[in-house]
Amino acid sequence: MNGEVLKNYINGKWIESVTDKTRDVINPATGEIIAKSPISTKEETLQAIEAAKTSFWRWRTTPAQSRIRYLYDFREALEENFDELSEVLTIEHGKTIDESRGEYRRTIENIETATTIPTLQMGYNIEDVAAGIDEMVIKQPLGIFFCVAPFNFPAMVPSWFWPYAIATGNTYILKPSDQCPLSMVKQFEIFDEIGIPKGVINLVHGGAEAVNTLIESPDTVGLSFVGSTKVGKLLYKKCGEFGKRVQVQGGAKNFITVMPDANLERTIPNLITSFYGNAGQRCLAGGVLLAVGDIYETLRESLLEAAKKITIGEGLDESIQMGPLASEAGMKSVLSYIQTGVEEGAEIILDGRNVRKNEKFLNGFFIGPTIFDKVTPSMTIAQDEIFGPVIPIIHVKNLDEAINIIHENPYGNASSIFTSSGKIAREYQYRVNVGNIGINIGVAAPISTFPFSGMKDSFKGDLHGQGKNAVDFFTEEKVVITRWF
Amino acid sequence: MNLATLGAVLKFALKLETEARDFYENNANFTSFKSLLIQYEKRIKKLKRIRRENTTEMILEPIENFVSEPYEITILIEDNKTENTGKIIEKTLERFYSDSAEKVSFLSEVTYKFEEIALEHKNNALTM
Repeated sequence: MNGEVLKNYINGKWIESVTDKTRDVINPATGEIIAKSPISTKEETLQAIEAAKTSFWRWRTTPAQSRIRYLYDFREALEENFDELSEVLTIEHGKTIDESRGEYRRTIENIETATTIPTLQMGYNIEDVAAGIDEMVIKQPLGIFFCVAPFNFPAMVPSWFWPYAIATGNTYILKPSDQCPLSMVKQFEIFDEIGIPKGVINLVHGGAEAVNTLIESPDTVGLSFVGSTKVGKLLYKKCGEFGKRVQVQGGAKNFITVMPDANLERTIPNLITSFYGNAGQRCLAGGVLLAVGDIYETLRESLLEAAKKITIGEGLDESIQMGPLASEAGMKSVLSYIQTGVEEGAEIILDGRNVRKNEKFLNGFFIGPTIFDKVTPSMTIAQDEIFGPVIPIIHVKNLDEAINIIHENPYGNASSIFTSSGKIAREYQYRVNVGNIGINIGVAAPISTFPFSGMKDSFKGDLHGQGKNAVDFFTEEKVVITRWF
Repeated sequence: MNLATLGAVLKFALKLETEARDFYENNANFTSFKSLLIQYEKRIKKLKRIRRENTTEMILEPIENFVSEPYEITILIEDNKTENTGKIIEKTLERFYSDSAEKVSFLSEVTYKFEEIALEHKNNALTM
């Protein structure tokens, strides 16, 4: 990490980009430039497509059991290099080292799930659909898939997709986050070490030109995207125009409802994790706290007390509980939202901007835990995804009012309820129109055998990442009807 | 040191285990305790495995009111003034893991493992 320009990995080789356009990769805890991400050209992207196209048939005809052995090797390498990989992730993103370890654990879990492809990819059949005629379904790979990855989980999110894609017999092109590309570069170094056949998986750094080239190519099949809803909608539309399969995971505004019967002692640490984990830069992060009925005052005071205790600093320090925002732009955006909250009349009871008065935090992109009270549903901080460590509290009368507020928001990624009542919990999971529901869980993150769901403006497409959904996304069901004379 | 995260607890646990192992390894009174050294090696591996496998990001919660100072054994080892140093080390480690198990109760797998390790140290103390 010496400020070098990163290379693409195409057809089993590390190749320098010919572009003179780069983006600085910055350690957000120190402001130091640690690498430069090239904005690869159209021609370079086409080279990756050609490599993936050339290798497809040989890879597709490789038995599934042989394909997944590369995943076993990859998994073992991740375990062996776990500490180093976690540190690189913390350095490029700013998240705490524990958060990086957790991200890599989920990455490994996805690879483990994809190693069960010989079972997951099985079709089904029945004899005698008519006398002497049998019918079966075969799940076949389709060709070249690609991923446009986000900055907030730069190591893990790609693993919702690529292990399933290549395990089912497709070839793959990954465009990593240009803000946090180092973790994927490290993972591609592992691909190179384990000797995965050339062209099966390729890495192309870049921006819009690379993405457009991938979508417009007649040789590619589908896109997996995780990022903002604004960009996601554009890509969804474009993929439709070019006949691509697509799964778009967009933005979020996740409402966390706390009922009067909630166990506050257990709830408060969960809320801290939900709103402030990963410095609030999760698509599953708490976005608004809905305090129902007479728990409001106690909840507010307990939360304030807990939030004040959070330790902030460079993520490699084990004792730190919250790192910086991942970029200066992200930090400025959050600061702007905080200012908007103040201007729109919310009461700021914990002001995270104050940490920037401390000299040791000035070079990094730090904002401390922030809490707004007396927020109304129409305020900007109650509607927009802030993507930072900010808790807007809305006091509501009852569950119906809470659910109405949730449904009026265009996003539908996740929502959680804290309650001791099974009846209320069931009603919540039944009625609330979001993809991932947490019941006494502040971060409703599905494990790798379940789909990472999402609804409304938080997801466009029909098949999600992870597990069986991913297998279906990366395969086509071919029906064969057989009669022998 | 403030043990405010699972990572901080595990880092300190590894420091304790390493210091204690080195003490036994370099102390003539314990050279016959081969099984103890093997036990320490296994435990260090176990702790590293916990750090890799049980840091479940979505349920990591802050740890409050937990610091390393009451469990430090460095000075005890350096002084080594008493024949009971080994016993005191084991009892200190038992206390550390028992307290840690309570502090990380949000990760029940880790709690169980810390309870197991506390028991190992308790048994070691009884045999010294």
